[in-house]
Amino acid sequence: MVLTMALAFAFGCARVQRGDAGTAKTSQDEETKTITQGLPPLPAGVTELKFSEFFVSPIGDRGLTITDKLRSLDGKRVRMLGYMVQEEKPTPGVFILSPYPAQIHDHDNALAESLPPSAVHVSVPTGRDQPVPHSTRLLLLTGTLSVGNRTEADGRISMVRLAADASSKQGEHIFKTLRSKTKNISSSKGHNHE
Amino acid sequence: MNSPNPNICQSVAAVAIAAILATAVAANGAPLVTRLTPPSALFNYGDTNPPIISRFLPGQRFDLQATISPDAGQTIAAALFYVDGVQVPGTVSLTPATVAGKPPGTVVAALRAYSNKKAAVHTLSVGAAQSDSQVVYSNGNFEVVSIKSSRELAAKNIIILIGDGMGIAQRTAARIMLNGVGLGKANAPLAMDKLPFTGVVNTHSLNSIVTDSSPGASCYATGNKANNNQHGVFPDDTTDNFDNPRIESIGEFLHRTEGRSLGIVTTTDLFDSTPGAFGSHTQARASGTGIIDQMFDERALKGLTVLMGGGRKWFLPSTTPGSGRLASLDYVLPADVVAGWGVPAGALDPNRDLLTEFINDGFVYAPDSASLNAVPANTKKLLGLFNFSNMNVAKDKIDKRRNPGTPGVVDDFGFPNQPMLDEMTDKALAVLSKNKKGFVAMIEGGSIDKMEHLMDSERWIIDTIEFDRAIERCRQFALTHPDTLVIVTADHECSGANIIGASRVTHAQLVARAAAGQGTNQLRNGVVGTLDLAGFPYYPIATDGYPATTDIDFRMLVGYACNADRYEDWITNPLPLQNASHGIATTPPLPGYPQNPLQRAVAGNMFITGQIQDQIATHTASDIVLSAYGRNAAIFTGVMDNTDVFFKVMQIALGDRGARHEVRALLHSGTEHGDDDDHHGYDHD
Repeated sequence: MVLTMALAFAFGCARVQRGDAGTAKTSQDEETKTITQGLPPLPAGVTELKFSEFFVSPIGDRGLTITDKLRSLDGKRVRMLGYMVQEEKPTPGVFILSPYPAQIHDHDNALAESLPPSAVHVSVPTGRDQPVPHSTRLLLLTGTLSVGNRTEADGRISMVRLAADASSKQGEHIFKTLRSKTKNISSSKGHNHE
Repeated sequence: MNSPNPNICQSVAAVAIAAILATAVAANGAPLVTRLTPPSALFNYGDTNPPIISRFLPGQRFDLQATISPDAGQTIAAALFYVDGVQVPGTVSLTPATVAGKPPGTVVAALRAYSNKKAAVHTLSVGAAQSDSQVVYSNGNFEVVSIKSSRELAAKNIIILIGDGMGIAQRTAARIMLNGVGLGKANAPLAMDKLPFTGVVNTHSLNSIVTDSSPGASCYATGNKANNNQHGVFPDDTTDNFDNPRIESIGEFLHRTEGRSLGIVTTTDLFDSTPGAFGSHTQARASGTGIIDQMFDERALKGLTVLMGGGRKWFLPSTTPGSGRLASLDYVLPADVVAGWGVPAGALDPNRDLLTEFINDGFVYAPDSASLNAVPANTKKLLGLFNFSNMNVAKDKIDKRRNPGTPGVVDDFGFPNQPMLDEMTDKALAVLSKNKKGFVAMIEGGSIDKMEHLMDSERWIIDTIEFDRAIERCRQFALTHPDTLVIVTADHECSGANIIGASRVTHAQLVARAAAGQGTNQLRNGVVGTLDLAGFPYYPIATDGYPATTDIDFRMLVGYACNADRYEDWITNPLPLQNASHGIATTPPLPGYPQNPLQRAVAGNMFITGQIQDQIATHTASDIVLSAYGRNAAIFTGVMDNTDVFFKVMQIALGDRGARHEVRALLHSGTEHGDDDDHHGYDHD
């Protein structure tokens, strides 16, 4: 598993801070551009997959058309770069990877209009009984891709899923960190997330 | 809550089903009525007089409902409704109240699709008995307004144009940008300025001084207030999003009584609140699957003939990539609604291919601008779905038309060929006007609001210009179809936008100042020209009718009174925000698209603290302007409640002679009293 909190390593705290008018700001696209250029080498047998490679554009008269590349990667190992969607009610062991750092407000329009169709449901290799703590950083994920519609526990219909693999020491370290954070959150609130 | 009405007791005694009610005596510990619908000040706080009262047309259908809690250990055995002391015939359904916090056994009693033709303030009462024979009576009231049809006076075509979030400053900004000002006078009016009659509209919703778009449109569609997030319905005490007490909407009423058609046209996703309020009934504006399904399932009730906008994702089966259809957003109606209103029950069917069903029903389908242009002249029903969610905004559509060979924003969204609102309007009117009995068209400039939420000044101004061009098409239609009423209004103001003044520097100087990153020292001081320092900004207009550029020297400057945290550099944002308010791109990531107003215009370093905590700006309680043209449109003058607009529209749509009296009275300073009782029309039956 390669899960790199890329910015944490590369830039420290370069992200925009609300109300912090005095420091220079780094916008998300600049982050993305820099990170993309500085990615570690692609492991053997892994294909780089971008969100922009999911669908044929322009869009036709009806639905989206899956690209040949996406279809061909069903069951294959891929690497993706994206943001973890911030959810009010995350599903244990699963988070949604999005091309941009979206938030889902479950009380508001929630399922109606919050996520792009290319959002990927990611299942984590460890800590599957607990919600994955939210990270605002760009995430670099490697895992096995699954293409085709499936109804998820959160009520959404996923089209693409990624089973994140746990082959990397770096990745395992990150997930351990996430897990300990989750325990802290759970114990401090005194109840489990539903 | 009120004392038992003696009239009620007499009529109760005559009704077999109410044997318990008739023999029992109200006593301490009786069941409690906590809600009586339609809402009234009489029920809520004992005020017997209008104007705080729900109002209906003669014969307009609506549901009666009450929430009744029994004493501990008891159940509610029966409930009956009475109007003016007479029991209302029909079945009263009892449904468990499912909202949190209600005592065990609390029920919602409903009698569906009631109507009353007698113009008066009517007393509405509910009587309920619990299992130990204790009873409760409670009173409210509602008003049936006096509107009589007269065919020769009626405006058979009703065009309601809604600029979502279009306050008065938005009109001013669009006029300055489009036409300019010279020596203190507007060089030309907007199309909406040419509509001769103007009123001011209060926009409050049933539960707040600040409305959202659902009640903001529902008032025009039904004549009644709704809670925020709800349209076409009154609030209730069940969690079901589609079982609320309904009010018959303008399209439904005029189709049932007059055979007129309904058209809904918007630049947003078609499930959005404004189109939703004219085509569906729900307490949850986000229930996109159910809202769109209901528009189609109940098309026979409202004569749905034209449906155009974004939101294609709701029309595709969930197995199709890009579909937004979810069972959790869908609807199934309870049996009493199905029976009372005569509507299909609906189904939780995320795999439904609604697009094909539309086509099979005879709708001509236009997926883009070219196919819309090519719609056959004999088209009787028209469906246009030009984006998966909200359509791209006018600026980005125009940019692509001007530079067809250059990749643009619309290409990033996967829909390079989306129509402009005036083009959609032309097609809608052509199809709707085939019905000789007339039509209702709701045409919305929907993203004025959405761009205000994002505080993207140039984008909402250009969307207001796009909306104004659609207004001009409707004005031209009305000039050649004199039996037409055109009203232009908004559902609410959004963002507290206003025109501060104008820049004191050239565009090049502004760019240099922004690049310096010195914040207010560079971007406020020496830049923001107030009062006479503002002068008269001049925007050259291209042959397509839109500004050639918005990055002019000495540009108009806009500020926001209801703003979220943001950076401001006054320069036109080259890209829209990638945000649900703008619509979801289907082929992201969109390189360089900021997510929120804190990621935009950052380099200039002029941070503006928001007064609200949200990421984006929001609606204000400000009044909005209404302009009207057409038969008897003079009654749209003065200051009015948003629900008044519905009744004024219906006076004109039905040819009410009262409207003509009112117009004459206005023209003669209130001295004229109806001397034209030559009544050749007919009373509405």
